[in-house]
Amino acid sequence: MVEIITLILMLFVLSFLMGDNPFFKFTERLIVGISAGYGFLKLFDDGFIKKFWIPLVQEGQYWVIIPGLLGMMFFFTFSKKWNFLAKYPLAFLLGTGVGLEIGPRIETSILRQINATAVNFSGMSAGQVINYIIILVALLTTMYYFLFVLRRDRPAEKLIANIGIFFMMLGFGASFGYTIMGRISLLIEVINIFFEKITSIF
Amino acid sequence: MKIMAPLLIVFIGGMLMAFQYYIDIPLLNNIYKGVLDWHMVIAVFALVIAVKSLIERQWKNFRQKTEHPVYPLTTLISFFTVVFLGIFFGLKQGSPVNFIYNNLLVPLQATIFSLLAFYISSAAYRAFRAKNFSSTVLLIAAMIVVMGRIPLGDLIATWTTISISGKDFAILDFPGWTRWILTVPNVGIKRAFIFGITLGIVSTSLKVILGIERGWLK
Amino acid sequence: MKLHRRLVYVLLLVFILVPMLFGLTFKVKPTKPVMTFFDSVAELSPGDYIAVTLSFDPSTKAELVPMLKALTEHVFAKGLSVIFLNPGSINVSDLGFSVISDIASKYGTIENSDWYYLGYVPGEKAVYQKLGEDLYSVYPASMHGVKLNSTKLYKDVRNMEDVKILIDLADGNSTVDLLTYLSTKYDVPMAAGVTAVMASEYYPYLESGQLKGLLGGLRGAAEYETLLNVSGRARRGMAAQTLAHILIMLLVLMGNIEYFMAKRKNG
Repeated sequence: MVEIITLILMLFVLSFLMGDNPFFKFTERLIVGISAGYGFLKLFDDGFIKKFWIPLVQEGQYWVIIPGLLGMMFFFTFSKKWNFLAKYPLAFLLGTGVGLEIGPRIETSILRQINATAVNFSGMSAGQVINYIIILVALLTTMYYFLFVLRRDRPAEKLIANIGIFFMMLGFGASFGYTIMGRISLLIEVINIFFEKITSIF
Repeated sequence: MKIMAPLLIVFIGGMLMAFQYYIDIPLLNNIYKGVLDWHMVIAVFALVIAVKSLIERQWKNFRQKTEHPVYPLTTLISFFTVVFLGIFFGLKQGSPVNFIYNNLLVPLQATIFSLLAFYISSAAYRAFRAKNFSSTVLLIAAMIVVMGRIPLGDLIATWTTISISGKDFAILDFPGWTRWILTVPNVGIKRAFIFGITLGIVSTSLKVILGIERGWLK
Repeated sequence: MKLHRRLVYVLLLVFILVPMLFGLTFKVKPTKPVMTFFDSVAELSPGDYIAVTLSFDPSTKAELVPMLKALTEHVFAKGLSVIFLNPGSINVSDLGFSVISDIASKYGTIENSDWYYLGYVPGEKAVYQKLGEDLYSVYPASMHGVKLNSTKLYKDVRNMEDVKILIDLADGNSTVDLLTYLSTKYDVPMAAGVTAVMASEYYPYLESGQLKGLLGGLRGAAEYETLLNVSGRARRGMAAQTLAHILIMLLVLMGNIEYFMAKRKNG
């Protein structure tokens, strides 16, 4: 029985290909509700119960009361008068969150990436050297294209920007080529689900 | 006070956490571990805001009749049904919520995303044109990767392999060209994007810590 | 002649359905990022710990579940001890658990002894960092409530520095976040399996050696299956992928021919 309902709802979703319609809208809203409900329950179970209730009530870890109270200040969003108090836990999450981000981000995505670009050519084949030079040229021209957008009147600078565009188009083309495979995979999966449901009905 | 206190919390918290990455002091390390623990507990309650905005929005749509009332009602009813089922019967394998998850949520979410396959095929036909030099480069790179990622590309490379002075050389080496595009030009430009994004994140973080960026206070 | 949008949709369905109905499979040639991924798991010894984070939503299970299946088969066959967790995605817990427990029953591996499913904990980035400090302050118990201090894991692993490799299966930015907050900061070797849409974004990290290997989309999973010598859903899907890709190329070609003909007509 449930297989039939699932199949019908899947067809409702696919009906969007014929244009927006009430069947699709209904199913879409149903998914939003179910997904939010499921997320809420999971967060309640994995979060509130496991990270707050059990440590406090069963394990006597009283320190959780302080972040718990701070977290409960989010409830002030419901009050017009005390709304500003809900900013306190947000300030804590945001402030410490961005502070924690700075160092590791710089190291992971800037320093180590620079390190990988500035390689020592000794012992490399000619092909590898050329490839590293192309990586460097693509990197610098792309950065140039985005960072120095004001001076495009000079021919030399226009040329640099155009080289940047050329490499970017190669990269975007590769991403697009990859994306096609991703999208087709999603459809293959749905057809698989269709087959499974139909087999289990008959 | 309403603005100063949160700004002060952001400043002190941000500075302490930014410095602890570079300075190895036991006290700062302990604060760091404590902050991480606090984050996990506070994040639990942040959920209230998400639920509130979902319910508020659906209720507003229902009251103001901005759309047919069936739609906001569907969301609200399905949300509360799942929540009540979860509270009364739990979330274990075989529970009603688990049943809904396996039979509705998973297949329907997958189906919604599968629509993208149809759109990308339609876009390939209607929008992917070699109108100028840039779009031609994009198109050629995309087609090389398309061929290079499917088994047919491997076969074509094998079929067109010739031997020149003992070395095998494929004339139509789509997988090889794909590998080159991905590991050479693609690495260069994506690295430039990574630098741009990371510098953006770091500068925004500093603006937040120093109280220059205050959008979150509104 | 102009193709109608709906005709394109029907063509796509036909091109995917036909190879699926006939059960065609293709052999795929493994590429370097997949081979290095495979090797970084293959070179481990039985009993070594690895961690696998499931950071995807059920909506992208098409690409990531085949990877999860292939990887789980590999690690169970090798007798590795595995910690599965999903701090980056709330909705994947039940899906991930059912996939893994199915494969576990095939290999006779036991939950909370050979493998552990820790599930979701809120706090994402804070969780990633705390995993590098103390696993048990984040996860005192498994997803189903078994206290970890009574398990073998508790004796062997203090934090993520004690696992040989961390593998992220992701459809979003979690791989960069894990690299940032866990891999770099606590020196944990890392590899990733990501959706095809995200794959090209990770090549700089692969090239720099920050990622030990990369599986990109269904093809990545199919290559992994080939290396394992199993015929799973990914390899079966490659036949449909091949035909669908050929159709897309034909559509691009037709679109361009029409465009140039119209251009010539209008002078």
